[in-house]
Amino acid sequence: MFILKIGGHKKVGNVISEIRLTDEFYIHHENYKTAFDSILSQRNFFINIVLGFDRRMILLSPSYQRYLFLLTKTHYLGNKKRTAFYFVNKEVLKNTPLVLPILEEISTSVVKIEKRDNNILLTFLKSPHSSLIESQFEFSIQEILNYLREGS
Amino acid sequence: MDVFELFESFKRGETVLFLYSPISPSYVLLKRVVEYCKKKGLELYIVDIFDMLHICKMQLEYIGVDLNLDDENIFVIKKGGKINVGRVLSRISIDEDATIHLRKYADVFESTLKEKEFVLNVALGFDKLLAFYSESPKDLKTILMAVKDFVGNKKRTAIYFINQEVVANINNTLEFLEDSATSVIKLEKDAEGWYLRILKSPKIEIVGTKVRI
Repeated sequence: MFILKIGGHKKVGNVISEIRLTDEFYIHHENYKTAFDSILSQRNFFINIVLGFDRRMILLSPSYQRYLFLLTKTHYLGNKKRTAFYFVNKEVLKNTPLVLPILEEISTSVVKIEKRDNNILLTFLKSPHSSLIESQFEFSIQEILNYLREGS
Repeated sequence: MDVFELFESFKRGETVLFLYSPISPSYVLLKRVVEYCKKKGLELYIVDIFDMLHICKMQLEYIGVDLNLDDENIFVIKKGGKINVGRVLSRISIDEDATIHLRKYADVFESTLKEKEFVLNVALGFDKLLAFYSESPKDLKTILMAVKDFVGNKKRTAIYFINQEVVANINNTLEFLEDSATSVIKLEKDAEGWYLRILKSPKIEIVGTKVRI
């Protein structure tokens, strides 16, 4: 497991590369590309989990920087060396309402996660597999917790 | 009415607004436009804003559809972005000053269409261009006014691909675009799947019609 850290101070896990945040998103994008490509070169395939993309978006202003940066993410679609999962908190993006619809459009799959009673409800909003669209999966929170505790 | 009949109904010089939700398969319409142009021997002029042509091609690949743009009648003008898909004839950078951007685009548009009698023009990612200028009212207005200027230009019929949730969140932009366009079609879904609903057309009798894609 490899961690690529962007901004922040607390290191958790195997941090193999660190990128400082800069005001110029072009510089940031180049730094990120270099670090990301060097990780990808080490294995044939990665599951890529992106945490905090929502926070990164709201930090960028003015709109020029924000949307140019968001749209650089189009370059990674179709890169068969990775499948990326962006964890996005919708509430964080409420004040920048153009971000979510763009992100949804440039993604191949969109999955919504919400809490229903004592369960976690997962709904496929978008998928290349038409049979998955609008399908739902429900998990008991208690069962997930038990599983996680045993797993650790 | 099928989708080719819908394309056939667009008159020369029209500006067509194609509205879709971000979770819809909007890229299927691009595939249909390409098929239509190949069948009719029409020239297709794709304006690829911020690499949205790459996105469409990849989205189609993931549903098992190949978007083959290797055709002498299909050409691409890139606005911003980095990834070349299809025959790219020219590229324009997107300037923070919309007036400068439009001047560059007008030059490319003129010189590209000079020798041509008629082209079908698809603008992919036009909503992203509006998002880019969304916090500058002056530039936003400049871009929106330019949409009106192209309406009625008989050298082309244009279809603007618009993510409706993007423009709905930029003040009055959706209303302005709907007002400027001569036709408005929207991607909707029912039990049988996705279809286009004609919301506006110079042919009043087809308004409200559902067209399967």
